[in-house]
Amino acid sequence: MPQLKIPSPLRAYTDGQAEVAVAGENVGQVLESLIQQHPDLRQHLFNGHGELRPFVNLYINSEDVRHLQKMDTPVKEADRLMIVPSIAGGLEKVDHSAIRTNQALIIGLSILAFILNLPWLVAAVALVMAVGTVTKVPGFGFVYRLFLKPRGLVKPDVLEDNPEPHRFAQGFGAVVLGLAAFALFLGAATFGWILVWLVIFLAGLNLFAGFCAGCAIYYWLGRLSVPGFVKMPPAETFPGMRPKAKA
Amino acid sequence: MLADLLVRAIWALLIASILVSAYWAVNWLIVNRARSKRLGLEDIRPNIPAILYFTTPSCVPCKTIQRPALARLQERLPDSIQVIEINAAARPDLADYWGVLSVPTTFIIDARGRPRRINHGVSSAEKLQKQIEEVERQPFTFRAILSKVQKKRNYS
Repeated sequence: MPQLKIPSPLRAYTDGQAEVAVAGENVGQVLESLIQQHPDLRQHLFNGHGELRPFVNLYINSEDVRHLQKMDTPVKEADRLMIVPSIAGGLEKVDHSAIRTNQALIIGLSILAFILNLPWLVAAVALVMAVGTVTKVPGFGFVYRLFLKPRGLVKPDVLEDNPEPHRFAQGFGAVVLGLAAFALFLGAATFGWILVWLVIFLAGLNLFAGFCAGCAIYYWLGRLSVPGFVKMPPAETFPGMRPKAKA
Repeated sequence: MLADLLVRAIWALLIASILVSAYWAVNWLIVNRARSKRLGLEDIRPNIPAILYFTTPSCVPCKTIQRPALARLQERLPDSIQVIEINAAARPDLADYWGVLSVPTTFIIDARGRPRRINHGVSSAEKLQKQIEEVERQPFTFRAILSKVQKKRNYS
């Protein structure tokens, strides 16, 4: 019988099992087999009309069944099946030039703050990053938008992307820089500057090497099935997702 | 005051150098450990450089940026490169075997089947092409030097 891999947020409803043996000749029958074994899953996978919820993705051998024959997609014994929840936030048009400008300024200003020994500059950068995180834009994106882009110094690089990991990275950086500024003002210079260099290093990894620390954290949390990931959501919400706002 | 500035600037340079070196060292270690690895390369065609590409279904930049970049590269260099895609979520054993820290991760495998470069995160088609050209140029350069030396010996 094929094995269906269960994502971390749903394992609370499969008695903790990461894989469930399922029977069926197509995807629809396989899901029904899963529901029969673990009835609590029904409300999380299907809406009131018996349709698969939009943020539930089913992959068969790394192909999304929505790109195949959906519920009629044939399933063979050796097929690898996996349920994957959509990433919160979905896809948007993201200008990566604005993100890179933000990263470059964070790095440059933080290094300048270190050389000139200016804790207030660290605090200012942290504040800009925090405001950017809350308003869901790159903190120093205004520099790109108002000066660099209009003068043609930096060309737009708009891609379909999920902005959540970038916001997470900025938010994380804002918190660490905020802590650094706090430590510096209290006189804990070594600790404070270590935190500043941590932010410089992570931003540099992202800017120059394309390594996204937020994405790496997401990958390892998924691999390690960290228990804190599992939530008990409202009935109409996929586990781990933000509940829909009530009208 | 100026002396203090200069000292801090030198410290900044030193710290930055150490961090960059640490990153290169980790990459060198991963690629070096991968030199003898063959698992996951069973279907590789001989004498053609390859890109071993680790992804997961939930990785958005993999789908929206990396995969299109690999497709563009294959269009530019048809029959000159091969791409082997591995779902790290379905094959965590392979991901660990190759030392994958995040997705997307790409390994550049030369025509002799040896891993030569690693990229953590998204890499553009241009960057991947440049890396393939670099690793394939080295053996050709060596052969060219060897060939010149042999010609000189033949003439003398």
